[in-house]
Amino acid sequence: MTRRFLAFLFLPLLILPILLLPLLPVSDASAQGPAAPRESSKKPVVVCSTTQVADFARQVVGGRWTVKCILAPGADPHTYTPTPGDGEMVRSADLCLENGLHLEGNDWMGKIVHDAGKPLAVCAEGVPALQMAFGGEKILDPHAWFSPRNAAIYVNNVVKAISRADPSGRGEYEARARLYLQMLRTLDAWIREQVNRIPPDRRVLVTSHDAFNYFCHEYKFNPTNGFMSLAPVGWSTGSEVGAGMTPERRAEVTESIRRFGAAAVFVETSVNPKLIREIAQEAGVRVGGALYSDSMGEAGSAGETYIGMMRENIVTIMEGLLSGGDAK
Amino acid sequence: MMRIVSVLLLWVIALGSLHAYMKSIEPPLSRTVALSGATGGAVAPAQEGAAESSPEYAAAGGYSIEATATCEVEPDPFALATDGSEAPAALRVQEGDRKILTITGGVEPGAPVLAGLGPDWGDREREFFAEANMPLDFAGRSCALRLRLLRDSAPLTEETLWTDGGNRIAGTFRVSPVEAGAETGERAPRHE
Repeated sequence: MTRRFLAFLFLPLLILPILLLPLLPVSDASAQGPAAPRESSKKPVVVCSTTQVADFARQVVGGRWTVKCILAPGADPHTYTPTPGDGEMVRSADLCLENGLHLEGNDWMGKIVHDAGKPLAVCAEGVPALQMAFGGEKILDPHAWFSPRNAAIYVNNVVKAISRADPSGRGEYEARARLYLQMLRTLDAWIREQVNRIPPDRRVLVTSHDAFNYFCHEYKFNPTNGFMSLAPVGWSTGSEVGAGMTPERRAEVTESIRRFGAAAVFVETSVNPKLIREIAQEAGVRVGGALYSDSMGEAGSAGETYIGMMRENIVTIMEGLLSGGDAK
Repeated sequence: MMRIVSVLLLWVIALGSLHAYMKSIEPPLSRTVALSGATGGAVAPAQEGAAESSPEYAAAGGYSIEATATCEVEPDPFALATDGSEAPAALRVQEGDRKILTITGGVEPGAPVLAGLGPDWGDREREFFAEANMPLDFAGRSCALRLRLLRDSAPLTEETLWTDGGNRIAGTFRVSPVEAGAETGERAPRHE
């Protein structure tokens, strides 16, 4: 009788841990915050407007978030029209990131994010933006990522936004960002070393549209044009102020190529190359190759990351300007 | 009376000449930035002044660390500054998470920067992490950062870090208790 009583008394002590066992991971996960690493389907989602912004986000979040990008590689952010699928993607997001400075033509990203009621962070915030004047209007150039030091500002803004959304992962995000910022520093030093091989008077960069102002400014291309882009099409391929191609701009660029002795002109992967090919023919120079500009490369290509895109651009520019000049 | 005045005058002239001579031989690069908050590791705004005028470590008879870059340094454009409270550093020395020295403004080439470590410092092996950032167009050129451990302003040991192809110098500086003179009281001439 006494033994049965004791067995009955202690039975719950044996059963209780077995009953509580499945509950333990649940309480653990809830303590880790919304973005802790869990099953992939439950990861928080960050939706980015452009491929560059998505790459910066991937470098910071690692495996803690799912990173989605609205623009496909090679797509043009100036003229993009969102699809219903994009709205769906944004509605599934915990956070949205955009370039800003009106890169997303007609504010398409801002509109769909606003409609979905999701938080939106602007990655170019705080960048010392270059100004361009068109017909009395001043426009801020949105292609700020073409300077690695501006890319560092993008990364800082991504870390801020992601850490705000998931404070428990801040240490992890900052650790990744610190390493990535060192990679950007190395990229910048490497670009300077490469560009230094081109004599200053041969640093003439002619591209399809005005995307390379920050690049020219940083690495001292186009000295006769105030270290700004030389392109037949304005800052946007769309129809905003100062955008698009005018006959005057086209004539000016053709004349500049002749006058300043550009060794080659370059097409862009996200812009129709027809116009720049015609200009090359008119000016009697060769096409030096295709540069990544508003969009990075396809997955698996050399330009699928920001660093890869910049590296490939430099390799193409060096080849085009040095060997192109010799061939002339 | 006249004799007394003459003696005083001679003394004034002699001391004045000595002072002027000391001023003239002081090297122009010895302009020193001294940090307050010598022992707590808290970062305080840098203040410029002569080395002997303000450092608290000297009064405390303690240890200090001196960093001298051979190139101009400026705030790092590739720093992580996420919360906005911390400006990017041009020159930084820290021990683990403890910030020993942070300079956010520019520093002239060759100008030593000092930070106090406190009087009871050299009791165990320590390792500092130091970094300095040159202007971006310095990439490819060689620059150095000399770190010296001082006690009562006298050097105990030193280490020189060099750029490695970029515009940044970063590395560690290890100091043992022997070098710091804590175990033997001897002062090691150089860090190996």
